[in-house]
Amino acid sequence: MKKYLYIIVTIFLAIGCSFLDKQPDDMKTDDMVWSSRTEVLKYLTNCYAALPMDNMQQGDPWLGCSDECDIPWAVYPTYGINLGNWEPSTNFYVKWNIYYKAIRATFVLENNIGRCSELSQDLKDRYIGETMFLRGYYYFLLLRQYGPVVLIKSEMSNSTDFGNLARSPFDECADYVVELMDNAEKLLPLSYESEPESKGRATVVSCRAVKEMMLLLEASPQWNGNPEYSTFVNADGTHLASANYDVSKWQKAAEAAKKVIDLASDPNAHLGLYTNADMNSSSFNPYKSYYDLFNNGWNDEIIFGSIDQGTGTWDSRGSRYSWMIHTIPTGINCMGAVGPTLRLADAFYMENGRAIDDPASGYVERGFSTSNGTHFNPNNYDESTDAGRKGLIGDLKTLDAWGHSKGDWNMFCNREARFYASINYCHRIQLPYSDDAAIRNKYNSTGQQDGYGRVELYYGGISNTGENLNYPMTGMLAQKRVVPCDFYNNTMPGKYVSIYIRYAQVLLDYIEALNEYDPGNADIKTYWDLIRKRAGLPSIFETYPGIKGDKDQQREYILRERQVELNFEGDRFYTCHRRWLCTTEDKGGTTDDRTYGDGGRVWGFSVRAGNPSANNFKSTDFYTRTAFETRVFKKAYYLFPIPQTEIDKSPALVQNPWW
Amino acid sequence: MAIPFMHFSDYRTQLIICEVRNISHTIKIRCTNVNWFNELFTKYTSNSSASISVRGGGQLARYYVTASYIRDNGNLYTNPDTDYSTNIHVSRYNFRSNVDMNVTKFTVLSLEIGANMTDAHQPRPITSSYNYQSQASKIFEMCYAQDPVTTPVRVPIGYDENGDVEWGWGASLSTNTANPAERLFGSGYNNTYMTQIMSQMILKQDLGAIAKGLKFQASFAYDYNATSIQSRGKYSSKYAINGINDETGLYKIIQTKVGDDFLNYAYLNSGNRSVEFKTQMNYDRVFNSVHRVGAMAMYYQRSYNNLAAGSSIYALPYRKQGIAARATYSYYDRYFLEFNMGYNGSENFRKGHRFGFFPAGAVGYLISNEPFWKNISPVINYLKFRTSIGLVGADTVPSGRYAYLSTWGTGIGGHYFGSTATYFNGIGEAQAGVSDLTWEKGLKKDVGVEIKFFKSALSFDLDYFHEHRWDILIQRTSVPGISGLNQQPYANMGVMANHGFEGTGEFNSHIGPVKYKIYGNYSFARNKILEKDEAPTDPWRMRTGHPLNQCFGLIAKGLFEDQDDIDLSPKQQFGTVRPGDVKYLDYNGDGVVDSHDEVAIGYSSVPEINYGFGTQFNWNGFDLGVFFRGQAHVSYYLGGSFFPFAHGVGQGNLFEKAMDRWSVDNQNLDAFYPRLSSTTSSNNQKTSTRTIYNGSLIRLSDVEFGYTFTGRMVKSWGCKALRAYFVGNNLWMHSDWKMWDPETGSNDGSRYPLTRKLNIGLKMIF
Repeated sequence: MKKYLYIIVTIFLAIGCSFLDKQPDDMKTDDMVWSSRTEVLKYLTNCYAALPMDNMQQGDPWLGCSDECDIPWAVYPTYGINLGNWEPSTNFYVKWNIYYKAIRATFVLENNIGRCSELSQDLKDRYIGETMFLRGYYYFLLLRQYGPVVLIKSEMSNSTDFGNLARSPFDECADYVVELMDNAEKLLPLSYESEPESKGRATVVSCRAVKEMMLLLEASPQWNGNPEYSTFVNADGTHLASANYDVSKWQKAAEAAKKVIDLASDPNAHLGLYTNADMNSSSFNPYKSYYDLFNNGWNDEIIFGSIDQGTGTWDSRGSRYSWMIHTIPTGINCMGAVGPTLRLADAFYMENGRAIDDPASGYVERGFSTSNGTHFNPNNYDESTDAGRKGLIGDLKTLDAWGHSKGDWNMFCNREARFYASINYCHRIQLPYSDDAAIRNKYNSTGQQDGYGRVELYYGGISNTGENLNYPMTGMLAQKRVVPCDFYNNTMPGKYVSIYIRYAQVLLDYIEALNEYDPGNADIKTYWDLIRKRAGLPSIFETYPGIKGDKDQQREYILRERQVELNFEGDRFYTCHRRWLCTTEDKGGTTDDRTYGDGGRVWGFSVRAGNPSANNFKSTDFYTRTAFETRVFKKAYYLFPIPQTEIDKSPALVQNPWW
Repeated sequence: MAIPFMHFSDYRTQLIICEVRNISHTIKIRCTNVNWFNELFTKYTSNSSASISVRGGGQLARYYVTASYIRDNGNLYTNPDTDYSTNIHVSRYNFRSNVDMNVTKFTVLSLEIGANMTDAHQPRPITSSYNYQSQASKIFEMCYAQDPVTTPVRVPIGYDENGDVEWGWGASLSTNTANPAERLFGSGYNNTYMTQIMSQMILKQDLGAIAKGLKFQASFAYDYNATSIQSRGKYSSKYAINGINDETGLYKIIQTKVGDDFLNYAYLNSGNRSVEFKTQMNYDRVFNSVHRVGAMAMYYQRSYNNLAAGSSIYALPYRKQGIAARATYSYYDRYFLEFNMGYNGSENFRKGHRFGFFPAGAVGYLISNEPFWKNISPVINYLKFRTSIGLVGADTVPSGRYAYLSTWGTGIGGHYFGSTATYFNGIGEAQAGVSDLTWEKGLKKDVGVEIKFFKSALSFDLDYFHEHRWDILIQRTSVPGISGLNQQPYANMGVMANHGFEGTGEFNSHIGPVKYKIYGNYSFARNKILEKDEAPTDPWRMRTGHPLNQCFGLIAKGLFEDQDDIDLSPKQQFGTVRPGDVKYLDYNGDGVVDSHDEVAIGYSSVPEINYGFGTQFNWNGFDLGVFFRGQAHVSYYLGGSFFPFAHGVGQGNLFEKAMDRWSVDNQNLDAFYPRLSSTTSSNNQKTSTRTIYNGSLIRLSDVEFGYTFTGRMVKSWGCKALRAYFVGNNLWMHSDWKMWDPETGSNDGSRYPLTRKLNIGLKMIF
């Protein structure tokens, strides 16, 4: 029996102590990551991953909560926000945590990239330049959304008492962003024209643009001596917003913007406004230039953006596909309801450069047009034949033909090119369908089928049946970023860029800043004219010479130019009611007599007028201006609330004013 | 059973009625009125089972073999147009064979092998998921969520060559709602094949030659599980009615979904195996008929492999290792002493922190075995007091493995670059390793008494327990977002206390020839979080100090009567407040109602009290059993589609209770629902005493009535016995909450509830 005992003892010993030592031997370790060129590149990619891809039609606040747009779906967050259902524990567009994650990642890369012997010094420098840019850009995004931030300027150990770090004054935060951009610029190329696989990465131009945007925000009334922020202090009494107005901040912003503009003359920077042809040539087409700027991948106007996959399956087509689903009129595959407000539609100029309330503009509010617009049928197709219509549809889809057609509501006639590139209105011929008349006719009710596929947005029309919520409450739809293609057959060629910064915005930033301290500066005309020329409009000073040099009047028109030029790009949300604290009082009129302000009554057409089974393209009740909702805007909304969970964890973190 | 699919024909009638009325097309489409449950679910189904077992052997070897078969069918209709069933069918086959062999006079070698096979067939409404259990409940959820009016079951899409109407699956004109009938009848099926093998070899050696009562045992166990799912799924075409053609009078039909012509094919295999090795020495001996001495020492190790792990870290074997020992002593079977210890290792901790030592001890006193008890024993024939104290441990990290290692993952994510939109992958730190993590510990104490009266006719077994756990492995929550960590680190930080009472009782007796039994059980357990790394906040809002899963929310004070009422009340910070909205208590008295006014409300979502009781009667071959069970001290949150229009206007269903709401026409401050809104109302949908419900319930869970025939006729059929029986489950329930079965714990009732089952059966024993 002794041998059994031996066996037992042997078993105990043999199994021994190493049984639990198994651990993942192929696991990535710190050393493996930082010694490998490809892993370092992945880590850098991870720093970019927090950039917000466009999700304007549902998740983003920029359109649904601003005065240029209405998003009717109650399931999307902006709907409830406009009703005033917003508090610090509402999970609305919370970016606080993810931007800080990305900021920490930029430090980690900078602290470890030196360990990678596989990377050349040039590439190491460029990567560091990229992370510095990204850190600054994330801080800029945080500052714009949340106001003064907790400024973390180095990689801090996990055991840091983060809860006791307080917010820094706005100006100090802005200084840090500027410092980062100044340093990053030295490490980055002007453009990636010779290295197209790197498009979308930071450049000298993007650094200078973010610096300029940061300084413009700092100079703006929200942060430049805003008396309402005089009690915005940390627990120790540190003021988080500057107490006194400082006009020189505008000058700093303007000078920084000029530094971007100066690069446009450097051919290596590949910077300038996008056009289909030289602006002075006869083939220049303002509509095509402005429309295509958003739809053909990268171009010289895009200073910073994220490219998005254009083709593939439903799920992987990215943000542009989703935008089109939400903006192409309801019918097959689509549920278009992202509606421009009448305030935005009215802001567009006439093609002659005049505002619609200008008696000399030639604007007619009511009635149907009796003839086509001047650019509508440039090749003079015979519209009475199938072949002629098909040819015209082809021209419309290539954007060579544009403007209103016979039978359009007069309000939409003879407007500037940017109007037609941005606004889709009732009776307009739709671009993203095939040229097959039979398919196009599916989008029209019996008796209205003319082979063109004109959108029916009146009550009872195909795209406003009353059966569902997929129709625009304003009676108009967004046209911008809707790619002319054959959406019926699910084809959508091309790649699309979510544009964060484009050159036209820098020009507008520049003239806005100049106007505040030097309204007579000649550069105002030079660069304003550039924007208007691309839009096919005469100089504003030719149309309205009286405003020249008048700071207040020029400001009104600059902000209007911005409202039009940057419509549906997310700019209005910040520029109007936040950066400029602009809101006009509602005098209770029967039309929208207000210029600014996200709260209050919102206006559109009468999408529930008339008898749905009798309405058609000739129904005029639809075009009656109607206030369809009243939005809540509280002072607290100037800034997003810091998430309640973060306030709870951080004794030193003060909440934003009025939250 | 009724012929299925008859119910589809109802649709023609309903649509025709609408045509006759000749009203505007927008209303015509609304003529559908579908009870989706009636369309998809049958009321009756059949199940069957059979089993056989054989036992035998002699001196050298003994065997036991058993086999059984069970078939369960679901209660879904099947589509006669397809050659596969859309109902659920589960067949299970079990085999077991145990063989014991005497190798020597003192050595027994046993081989135990068991296997079972399950073949399951289900519809597959969710084509993206293989999870076979969830498919039936998904059908239920779809029926629950789909409103009766927007989507017809089928619509006439044209005529075939015989001039008969062709029908297609109906759809709503709005884009995204499911047609539950299409999802059941037009979606294909999953076949799931599960195989489980359990085997164990045991060597038992009597070491009586070395020391009397000493035994050695070693066992090696090997288990293997494999699941293979073959999935044949598709989407069928769907059609919506978009008005009537004024000239022809026919429906204008648009095809909203182009379906697949054939079933697609996909498969998924998964499996795992585990190997366990155990050696053990046992010693058990009675000295002088007085001292009973027992001892045990054991070593074990276990290794478990996930054979279809999603990443390499989960593919590594999961391992455990440990030594356990026990010593027992009793004197005259009156006084009992026991000592236990465990020394266990876990792979989740770094070397040096890996092993934990867990001792435990117990004493017992069987006072009824004392000589002096003789006089009392006719009344109390058994009385035992016992108490124990022991340290236990746990090594489970809330998620993941190897919490001491820092790991890398995809970080924040990837990004597209370049003119061709090339996706670049990202990496970043995932788990921040904590090197000094170690075992979670709990000190358990227990005091109990067992007591039996009148020759054990009446008996009770009662226990009080208390447990203090510390070093609980938690993921930290108080690290602010500005730290920028991708994942909050783990820590041995949690502390909890738990105490409670458990008891069972039984009474056996008879009235004449009728034998009966009354029995019941009861348990109460209450825990308390003492530390959970909670961010410091208002004391009344801290989860620390309350049970795990305690509900928190505002205290509702009714509804606002009018604007004056709103103006005079503390300002509520949850959006615009209108008359008819919920009024909350300003708990901290700061003049505003916000999230700082949240307090503990109701109970935890885990019931503190569970109980059951029942009775059984036997008489002359008849038997009757009834069993009730219940739960109490439990609260559940309301949410989801409990709130009308949660999915937007025009989608989903409303409860009939929505009629009982505040409105301008019905300014009833006691209405069940406050003012409704067509979207999320952050004021009215705040978690509060209005949006939790009492989950207490009592349920008649089982009733069984049967008669066993043992007469000559039955025997002549070759049966030993024949039993006819009726079994009813879930026949009656009472709870304060009437809208759905609270035991689902559902926030809106959309979870598949416990079904009421009535079974009639025959059982033959050969």
